[in-house]
This record gives sequence, C-alpha cells and structure tokens, in this order.
Amino acid sequence: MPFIKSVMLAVFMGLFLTGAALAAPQDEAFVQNKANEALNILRDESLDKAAKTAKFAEYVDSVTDVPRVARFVLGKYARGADPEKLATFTQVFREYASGVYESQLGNFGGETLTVLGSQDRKPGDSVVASVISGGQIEEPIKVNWRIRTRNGKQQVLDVQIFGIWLALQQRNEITSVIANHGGDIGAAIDVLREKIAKGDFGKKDAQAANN
Amino acid sequence: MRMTFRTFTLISAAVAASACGTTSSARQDDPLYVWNKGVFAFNKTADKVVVEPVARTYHNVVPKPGRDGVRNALGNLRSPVIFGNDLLQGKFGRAGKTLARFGINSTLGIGGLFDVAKRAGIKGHTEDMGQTLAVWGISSGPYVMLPILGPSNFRDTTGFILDIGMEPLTYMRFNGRHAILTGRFGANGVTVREANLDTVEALRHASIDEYASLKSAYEQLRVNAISDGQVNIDDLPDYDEYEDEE
Repeated sequence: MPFIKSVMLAVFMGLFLTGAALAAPQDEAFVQNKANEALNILRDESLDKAAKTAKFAEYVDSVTDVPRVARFVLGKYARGADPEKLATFTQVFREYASGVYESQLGNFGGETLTVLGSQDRKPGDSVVASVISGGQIEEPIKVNWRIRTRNGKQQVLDVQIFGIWLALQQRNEITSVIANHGGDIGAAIDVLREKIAKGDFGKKDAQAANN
Repeated sequence: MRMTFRTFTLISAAVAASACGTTSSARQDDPLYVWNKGVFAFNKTADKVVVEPVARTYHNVVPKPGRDGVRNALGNLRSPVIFGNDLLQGKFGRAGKTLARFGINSTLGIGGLFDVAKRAGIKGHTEDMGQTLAVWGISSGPYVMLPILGPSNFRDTTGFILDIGMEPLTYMRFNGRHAILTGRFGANGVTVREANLDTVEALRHASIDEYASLKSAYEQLRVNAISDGQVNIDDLPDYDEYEDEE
C-alpha cells in the first residue's frame, strides 16, 4: 500500500507541477500587457495630473490584490487586527501604494518593457522577469513581478526594481512604525495619510528637486 | 591602513558594549537597535553637514566625464579584490572578466580612467568578501550601523576587514602611502555619495520610516548582490503568512 500511495502521489505531483509549469507563460503575457497599459496611462498627455492619478489608481486596483498586499505589509500586526482599523488601513494603503507606483513608473517615458522569462514558485505563484530599456536610460533596468493567480485571475503582489521588492520594503517600514507605537496600526495609518497629503512618494519629486 | 583597522577594533568593542546594554530594548530582527539608531542619527548629521555638501559641490564643479573618469579609476583599483572574491566563490568566468577588464582598462584605459573594456562588451561587476562569506553559507549576523561607513552586518563588516587584507596596496611600502590610502578612502566615499544623490533623496522622500527603510534596502540589496541579481524564489515571503485562520 505505501508503494501504491507513493506512485499515486508522484503521478499527482507530476500533474500538479506540469500545470504549474504551464502557468508562467500566461503570467508573462499578463505582465507584458499590464506594464504597457500602465506606461500608456502615464504617457497620456490628454489627461491632467488629477485625472492621470485617478486613472492610475483605478488601474492599480484592477491589477493588484490590494487587501492582500495591505495585510502582507502589516506583517504580524494583521493577525487579529481590529476589522475597522484594518479596513481603514487598506483604504489608505491603496492610495499610498498607487502614489508610489505612479511615482516610480512615472520616471519612464519613451522606454519599453520586455519580458525575459519566468519562474514558478508554486502553483499560482510566479515571478516574471523583465527589463526596461531604451528612451533616456543608459543601462537596461531589471524589473521582476510577483504574480499570483487565483480562480483564473492574475494579480500583481509585488514588483522588484533596482533590486528592491517594493511591498517587502513597505512591510519593513510599516511594521517598524507600528512597533515604535506599541503595536498600534493607527500610527501607520497616520503616517501614510501624512505622506499622501504631502504627495511625498519619492523618486519623481526628488529628481525634480535635484534638477 | 593600520588606522582603519584600529578604528574597526574600536567600533567592534563599542558594538559589543552596546549589545550588552540594549537587550531590554532590542528587537527580534535588530538586536543592536539602540546602538544602530544612535549611529544612524550621527551619520545623518555627518551626511547633512559634511558628506552631502562635498558630494554636491563635486557634482556641480567637476563635469560628468571627469567624474566618470574618477569613478572608473577607483573601480579599477578595486579589481584585485573583486578578482580574489570571484575566485573564492568559484566563479572563474567572472574572474576571467575581472582580470581582462583590469588589464585592458589599466593600459588602453590609461590607468583605469576610461572603461574601454565595457565598450568592448566586457561589463564590470562587484564582489566583496561579505558576499563570499555568504556564498560559503555564513549567515549575516545582526544588522549593524557603522559610524561614517553606514549600514552593514557582522558578516559584511568582517568581510570589509578581510578585503583590506586582499588589497595589494596594504602590503606596499612607499612614502606618502598613508596619504594616498586616506585620499582614496575619501574619494571613494564622495564618489559613491555623488552617484547616489538622487537615490538618497528619493529614499528620504519615499520612506515611511527612514531608519527601517535604509535597513530594509541594505538587506535587500545585499541579497540581490550575493545572488548576482538573480531572484531566488525560495527566499521570497509567503503572502498567506499573516492571514487569519478560517
């Protein structure tokens, strides 16, 4: 019996892994399409700043599993959190994350994104590798995308640029703020609200300041 | 270089003393938190008052080709250390590239001022003993913020000291050696800071918690450097880790 069980397990795992191996090409196509979509929104000169931000926020909402990423960035503080505070945090984080991604991707103008390949981490969880090149950048920039597929729907969980996973970075910072305030998620909500109010999302503004 | 080593001995002693005195306030992932926060504040002030103004002046006064030349030359001087670490990690192809780059840039590139090798398709890379120790399976140890030198960990600090031992200049004896070594150390610092003026500014603007942001960025960039930019999917966190149980 143990032998039969092992064979059945091997066959099952084989099917499972084959299925997983087939997932990545779809994720590659997803990244190529969605990245182009993002760059098109950011390049759209017919939109004023407010309209562009609103459209980009809508786009981020459609390609990212915001509630899941929000729980991820809260780390251990997500478990057993007050539902009301969690909902408020998710809402504020959505706006903040959209600002960060808009700011990061907004630095790219005439560049193009090319998908290089992908790796399956486990079924429904893959990493797609790409490079942004051309335009004004001298060296191609590696960008990796963590894609999660549930019920046939693909969503971006994290993006790695310049060697840094953004959601992981946000988790380390947000959990530090919460730890500094005795485990109060409200402190992270306040800090994010302050960043949103100032429009302080990083690169784009910083570059403008340096020029 | 004796001064540098002595400085490190002092730092290590101070870190050890700090570790003894901070256990009550320590964090799980940052046992030297109190020491680190203090040094972080000191470094930030030193950067604001001295390092950044010098780097910005250097940026404004010296034209880009000049700055590129200085960066290339300093990078070329580091080739023996990179070469040694390539070999120690068993990356012989990369070691060959480092050696070829050193030969080409030191001659055709006029002492390394011009990166001729890159134009010939031989791109540069960096390696250090901290990365080598990681490849050998040695864990990073606690995160530590070093005065002036910035973020590190016990493994990378050890690697930094061992890299000094791999430097040919450490063993050369000539008049003005200390001035040259000190000048090189300073020039390296200014060059790196100048190249990262925008990045540091961006980090400050984007960060939610500046200390945690620098720590996280340092740790992620080191992981990225150790794997030569390749993503190790097994090291990525699970997104279901902090879900409430249903």
